Amino acid sequence: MKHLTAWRIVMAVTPLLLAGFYLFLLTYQAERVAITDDARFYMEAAKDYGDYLDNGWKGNKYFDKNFIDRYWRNNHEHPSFAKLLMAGGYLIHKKFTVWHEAFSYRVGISFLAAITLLFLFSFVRRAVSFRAAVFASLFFIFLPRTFFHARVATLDFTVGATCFIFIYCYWRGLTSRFWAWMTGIAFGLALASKLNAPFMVLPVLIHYCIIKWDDLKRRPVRTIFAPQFVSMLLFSLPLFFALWPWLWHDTFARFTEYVLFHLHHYGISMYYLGQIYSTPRPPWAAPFVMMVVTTPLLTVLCAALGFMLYRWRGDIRRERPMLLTALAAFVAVGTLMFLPAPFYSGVKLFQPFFPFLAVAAGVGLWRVLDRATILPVRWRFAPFGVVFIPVILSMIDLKHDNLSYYSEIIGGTKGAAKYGFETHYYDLYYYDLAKYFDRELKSFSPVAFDPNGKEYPFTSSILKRSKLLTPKFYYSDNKETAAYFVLTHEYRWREYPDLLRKHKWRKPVYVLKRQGVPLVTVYKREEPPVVRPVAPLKIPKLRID
Amino acid sequence: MKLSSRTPYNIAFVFLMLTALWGIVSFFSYHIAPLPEKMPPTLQKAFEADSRPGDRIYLADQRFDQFVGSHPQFNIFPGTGKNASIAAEDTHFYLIGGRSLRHSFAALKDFDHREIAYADGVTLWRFDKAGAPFAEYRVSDSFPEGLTVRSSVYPDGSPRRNRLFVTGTEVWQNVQAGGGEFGGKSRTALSAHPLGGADQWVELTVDPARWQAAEMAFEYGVADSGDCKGGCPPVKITVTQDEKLITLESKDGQWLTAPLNGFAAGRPFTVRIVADKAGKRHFFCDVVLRAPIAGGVR
Repeated sequence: MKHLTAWRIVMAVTPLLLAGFYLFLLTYQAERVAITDDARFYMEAAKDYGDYLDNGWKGNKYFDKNFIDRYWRNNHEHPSFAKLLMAGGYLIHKKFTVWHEAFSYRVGISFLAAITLLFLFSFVRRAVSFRAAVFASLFFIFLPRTFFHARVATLDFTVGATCFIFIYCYWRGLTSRFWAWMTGIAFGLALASKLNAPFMVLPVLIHYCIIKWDDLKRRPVRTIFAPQFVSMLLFSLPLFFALWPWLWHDTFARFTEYVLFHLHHYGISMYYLGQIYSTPRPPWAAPFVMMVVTTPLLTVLCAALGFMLYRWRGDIRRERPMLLTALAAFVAVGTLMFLPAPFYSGVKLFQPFFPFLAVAAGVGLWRVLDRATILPVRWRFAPFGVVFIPVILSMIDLKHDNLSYYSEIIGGTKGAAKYGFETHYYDLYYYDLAKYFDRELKSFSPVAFDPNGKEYPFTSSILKRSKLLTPKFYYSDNKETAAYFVLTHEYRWREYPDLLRKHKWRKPVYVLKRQGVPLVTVYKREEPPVVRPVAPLKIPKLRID
Repeated sequence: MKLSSRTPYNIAFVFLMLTALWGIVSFFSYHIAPLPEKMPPTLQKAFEADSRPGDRIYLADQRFDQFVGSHPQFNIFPGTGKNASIAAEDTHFYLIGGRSLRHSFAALKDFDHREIAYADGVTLWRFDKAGAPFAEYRVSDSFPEGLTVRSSVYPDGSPRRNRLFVTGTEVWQNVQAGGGEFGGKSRTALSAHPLGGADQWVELTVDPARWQAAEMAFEYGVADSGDCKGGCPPVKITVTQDEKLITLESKDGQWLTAPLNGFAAGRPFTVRIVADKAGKRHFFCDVVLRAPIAGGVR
């Protein structure tokens, strides 16, 4: 009895410890995470949304159209939930100034990541086993790209998290009325996160049809109108609209504008296997290839082994959740592979895939260790930590720049350079670069960026507000006159190779490298030697007759 | 013999442990090992002995991109995936890569290739188009070698800043190797913005002696970015060598070629650039030198 109680405590405390550990890792030195090109849009929007929440209660102006338009016009092409999470952190910063402004937008996303880990743990523990849940949680924590996305103020992690929670609610809803009704709420949050959420209905419907096939034939109406689906019909869209005040007025026009924006999304370049793609987009297999090369090799192997070795069909309790996992993972990445959706920026656009990959990997590792007879039974789970060592080494080595992570299968960041992948994404303002300018700039100095400088006035402004960049830095458009010139090594810009050649005579004053690969190079303007120009109009004409 | 149902799990266990071990070893031996920042000396010496100024070196991949800045005197092209298709237009070029030849270069059918040197994991190959007697060089390829610059503002010789020649007091008044588009086609050449005014000039002196060119031609044009649709005066160019003289005028958005027939390949010649009004005169020019391939036809 005593043993049973202790075991229950372990079962209850372990996910909390793992989530706490994850939250600690995500927030530790989070100010050192680079600001991405799109984060600056969302940060500014989150600031406005936070101010809307803060200022609206005076005079109860929350529903006033002018008031809404003033604060919600910013970045109205994307739904609100992720930005509301960011706004929550911003409001705490605004009221209490307990952290940097740049960090304040990120903390909400990181907190959601820790909550997602709890759901992931619960899913695997209930579906498979406690140990598998621990392994799956560790696989999720040590996914370098996902780890990065859980630390930046963008929408991608949020949609991955809410899609997983939605699938979790659906699955628990098969046996619990409470979770069945929560399914619609979770789906509403996913819809309010990003446009790829609606696709996650597909694995749910397919899974439901498979496991309820007999019921569907016998009682089709009653089976279809299960509480999960009724909840989705009742709550999801209202929640989506409720969380997005921009749609409260001129609803039809603004919703249509939102849909049309994404149907006609402008092309964004991507460098893939040595070629630049935009329109047309990269080949259909590119999302899968990017997943394989940017996910730790052992994670992919364990996930594959989990499905390959174990005979799920004989284990109906575990078969159903694993089928759901496989379907959700396939749809998350398959929508980008097989639909004419834009695809760029590594694995950012299919973050919903990764929690399911972690589930599969955790289960796979558990199956292998549980069934292998090489080690004594008592010690059979002891070597589990070995599979995490390579990725932990890489993550430590890359510091906070996990968008440069590439797996062992291609040889890390260096291998990415060898095989023609982008070694970082996109127009990042690195903390190390900001620190360099902090040390270097002694007076107000214009700094220009190439091949694409247009994001840097905004990201540098956020860094300056957060006191992470010296106020002596100011952005300049003029590459010829700027005191410093920053070349970001991004092959997706067609002019990049020419720029590298153009500046070859200049001596770099700072190079930011990861795993030996230059990501950013800074050049200082050379003053011309003092040669007095002659007065004009004294030069005889050349005789050409 | 029937295998135990546990055997696949044992194999998988060993496989995972070995993969993890390999991952750790490869992290320390490869991932965090520094990339070469400069050509190994053996390679550099071999290249210098085998080549002419401006000979093109393509990098097989991005790992060697630091060579571009560490050897600015060489005409090195960063390791983009399109290099093989670009190189296919040449008659003669060099390739730097790892130990094995990249498939895209090995597949260049019309070329013979041979390894020139190998050191420290870096290989230099030479590619020659079968039967091609000449290689084309451009002065912009070896910029600033073979080139001196003066202007009406600096008649005794242009000063250098950031390795470009300063020709006037404005930031855009300089001569440098740069890229422009002409009729929608991009090319790299010498960017030489005129100073503005009939009595203001920029003068390039080109010394082609090192190339021993059999044929020479002057190429020039105002880039698409400076296309005034006829609203701007043309750039006037005068090419002279001793008594020999050619006068030319630019056409907006067009890249034109003037053969330098009768010009001696062993002596310098001058190119003087004048425009009545300098606004939007995004002028580029280059000198093409058609020289026998170093080492003869292969």
